Amino acid sequence: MNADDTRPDPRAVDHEAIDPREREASLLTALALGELSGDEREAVATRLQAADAADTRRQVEEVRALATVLRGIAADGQPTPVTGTASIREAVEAALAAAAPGAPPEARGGWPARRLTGLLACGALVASLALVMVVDRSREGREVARVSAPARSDRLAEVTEVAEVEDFAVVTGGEAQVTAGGSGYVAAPAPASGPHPGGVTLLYDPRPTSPDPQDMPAAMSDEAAPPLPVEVARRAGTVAGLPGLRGAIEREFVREAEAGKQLDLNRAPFAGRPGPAADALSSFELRLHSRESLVRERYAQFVENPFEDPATAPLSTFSIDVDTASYTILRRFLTGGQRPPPDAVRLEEMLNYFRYADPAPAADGDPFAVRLETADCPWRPGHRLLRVGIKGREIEAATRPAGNLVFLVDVSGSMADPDKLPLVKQALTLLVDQLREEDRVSIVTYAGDAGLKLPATGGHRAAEIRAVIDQLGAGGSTHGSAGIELAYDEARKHFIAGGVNRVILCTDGDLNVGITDDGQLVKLIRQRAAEGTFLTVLGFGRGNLQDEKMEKLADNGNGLYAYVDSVREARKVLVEQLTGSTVTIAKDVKIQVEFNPAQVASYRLLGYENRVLAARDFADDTRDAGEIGAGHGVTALYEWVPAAAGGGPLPELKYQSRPAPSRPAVAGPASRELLTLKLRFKEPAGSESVLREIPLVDAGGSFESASDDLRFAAAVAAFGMLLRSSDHAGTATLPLVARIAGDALGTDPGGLRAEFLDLVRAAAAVLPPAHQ
Amino acid sequence: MDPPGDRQRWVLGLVATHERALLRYATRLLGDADRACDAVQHAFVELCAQSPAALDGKAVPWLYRVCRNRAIDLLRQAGRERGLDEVHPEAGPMRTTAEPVTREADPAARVESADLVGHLRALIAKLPRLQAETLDLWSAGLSYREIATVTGKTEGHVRVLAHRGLSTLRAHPLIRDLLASSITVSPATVEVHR
Repeated sequence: MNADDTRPDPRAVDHEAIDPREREASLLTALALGELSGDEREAVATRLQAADAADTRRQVEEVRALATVLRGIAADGQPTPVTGTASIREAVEAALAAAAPGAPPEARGGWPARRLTGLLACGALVASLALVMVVDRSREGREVARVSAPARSDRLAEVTEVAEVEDFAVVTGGEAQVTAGGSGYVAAPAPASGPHPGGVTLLYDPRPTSPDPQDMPAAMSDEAAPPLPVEVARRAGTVAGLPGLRGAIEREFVREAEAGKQLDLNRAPFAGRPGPAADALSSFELRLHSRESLVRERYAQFVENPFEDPATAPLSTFSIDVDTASYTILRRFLTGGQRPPPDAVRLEEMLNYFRYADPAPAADGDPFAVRLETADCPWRPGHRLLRVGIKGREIEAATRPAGNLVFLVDVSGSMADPDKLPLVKQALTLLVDQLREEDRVSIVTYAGDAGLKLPATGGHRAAEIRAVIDQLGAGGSTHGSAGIELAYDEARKHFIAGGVNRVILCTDGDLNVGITDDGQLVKLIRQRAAEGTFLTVLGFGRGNLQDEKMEKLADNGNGLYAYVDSVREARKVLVEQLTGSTVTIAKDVKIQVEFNPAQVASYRLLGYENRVLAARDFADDTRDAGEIGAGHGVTALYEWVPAAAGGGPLPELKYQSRPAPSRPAVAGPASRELLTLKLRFKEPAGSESVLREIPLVDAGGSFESASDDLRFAAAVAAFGMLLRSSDHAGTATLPLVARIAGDALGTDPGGLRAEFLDLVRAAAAVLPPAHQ
Repeated sequence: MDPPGDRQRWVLGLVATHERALLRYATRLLGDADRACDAVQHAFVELCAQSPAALDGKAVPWLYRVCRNRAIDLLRQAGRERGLDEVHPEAGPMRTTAEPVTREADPAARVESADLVGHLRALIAKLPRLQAETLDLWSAGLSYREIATVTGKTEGHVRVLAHRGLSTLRAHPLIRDLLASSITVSPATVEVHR
């Protein structure tokens, strides 16, 4: 050991006098952090058990909760300054070589010169580079690329300050292009002897996915003018030697072309152009407007529900949906300064992200309670809104049924990012604290170092479970074929009758879970769901999210699909909703609203586009529908036009006559009813559905007099429509959304509504001015 | 003697797993990414000369310790500082040099600072230096005992420092709100989200 480096610290002695009470409090903190051992722990724990120690116990709980977040900080992807970390590795490699047997020990002394190592094969190519663009990635996913001229880049540190690189492209303004890929570090000074003075940068990619030097493109021929952004992208895509980025860019262009969209500067993957000619080769920033669109995220297209006429379509039928992923995804885009793709904006998932103050059902009655409310529509004068609020019975953690949870964790190389596997591990750790002795947890990994990592283990053996979680690592060889079947087998082996049996898939989108045929996969998931093992899908990270497919899998598995982007979200999904997402209190919950044509001229269901059912499926018990978990709330909004206001005359038809309007369909008191809400559901283990009918008479009521819940839901829906540039957004604007939401925060447990306001503000930067 | 391949794997493994955390730590100490990089590089280069057996299980605190000492040297060399341990341990924020490369400098990061973790980081940065350092090291996965080894304090002192730091954080309104909402899920205190 180097004596100099381990010299005793001059302040090793604790000089400070510490108040005994603080010392005692410090012990409690240490207990909460798990930093006490043996006798000390016993002693402190015993004091905690005292009847009058409730406050103290709470303190310990608080510290514990805070500590969980703290431990997450390290993994939460703080942009780390990594300037020159390549030199750290180079230095280490040099030192290792020097420390190898045969080399004199002194060789390790002194500072290894910063020098070009790494992909030496790139050298010849690199040497011809005139100018290098490095695309780096900020944590929020926004891309910033810097291009520096040769004259300026004699010190690489000046070229790239931040180099947390996922895929990076090298594009020359004139003479050559290279694209490299994978996770790598960028840093190297130019060798003075380089064929081009200065301006030489080595990009190296330590991952095995780095392109084979032979595949690297030849330098391109001269092109004097800086290329148009689109051309940059296209050439970067087609010429450069990195299949991932190239493929992604090509797909993006195909998609754009298919969509018939114009590529404008703001939407082009590589937007931004060099400044004035003199400066053109010096330094400029490229903003990759939408990294997401460059990568492999996919969102299913859908068409919004239209207005329907109750005379011809009196029934609106849909399955409930408690997914929340859309909101988390759009939050990720907006906080990253980007506009989310319209198809990623699903109104029902936004609405159901929030908790509402709907009253809980009576303990001995139905598993959920229904609340209906109408008020004026804030974005279209003359229209009204209907809010349907369904609140599931809550089950306290202490009384919830035992859980048999099998985590199926993607450990492919791409999961190594801080917002992926490390976050999965934190989420699992959070969950472990909530487990009880009768719970069973298993962990199966796939797509990397695959296999059964943790056989079913009782919830009281938290230390063992944590140890396995700690050891999960991304990467390794890919031979995971068993994957999902192994997980289901494990679930079946330890099936708890009357308990919560679930496979929980945690992935960034690599759904190569062992069955490659989608049809077969869905079949397996449905079959297992029918046997009582449900599937929950948790999406992590960015860049590879197979949104549509993940949602589909969860839906077929009677499960929840959520996107986890932060420790906070992990807590919300896994811990706060542990009971909700795991304990099903009713399944195949379908809603059918019958509108009274005497009162309603037309109506429109906001969101739930992919949950709409045919009217006849409502009473068909073989038709699968969404399930509702303990404590879950479901909100649906309808916009409707009172019959008195009229919907305007329908257009004349050429080939058929319209049935004569028969508005007064019923006489008597029922004619005053606006609608009847019909609800069907099955008990979790039942196969026959129960029907509930709830009529509603519109009591009038302005928007301002409506409940916080209706007003807040309206703000969320309006925001979603603005993000989608919906034709139905009427007079809604961001300030209107902010005002409504700001007035309807209610008690806002967890601060979710306040956070929504932040998102509305963030959206101002990415939405067209027309919305503001 | 261990086979060279083993040592190489050992060192590179530690680089892969701890480089970023060490850089973050060193950047906090030094307030400057370049010198942080130097300190971390120094620690890893020194590690290459160590035997895995001799550092059995203690390699991580050893790395932090060496990195920290190097950081102190760098601060002294710069002449702008009297070194970490000569500053009053409870005086002022940890970051005393010119505004370092931090997330505050990044507009995207400002947006994200709405996020809890961002807030928490900013709050830690405002703690007295030794408390912040203790919490940084703890959140990097070091135990009290290891932190004591790194910072040269007694374990009892580390205990108090961690407690003070966490108490300050807990008292912050934002953290209080968060805790109020998360605590309700703990079975020990019952009342599931109501």
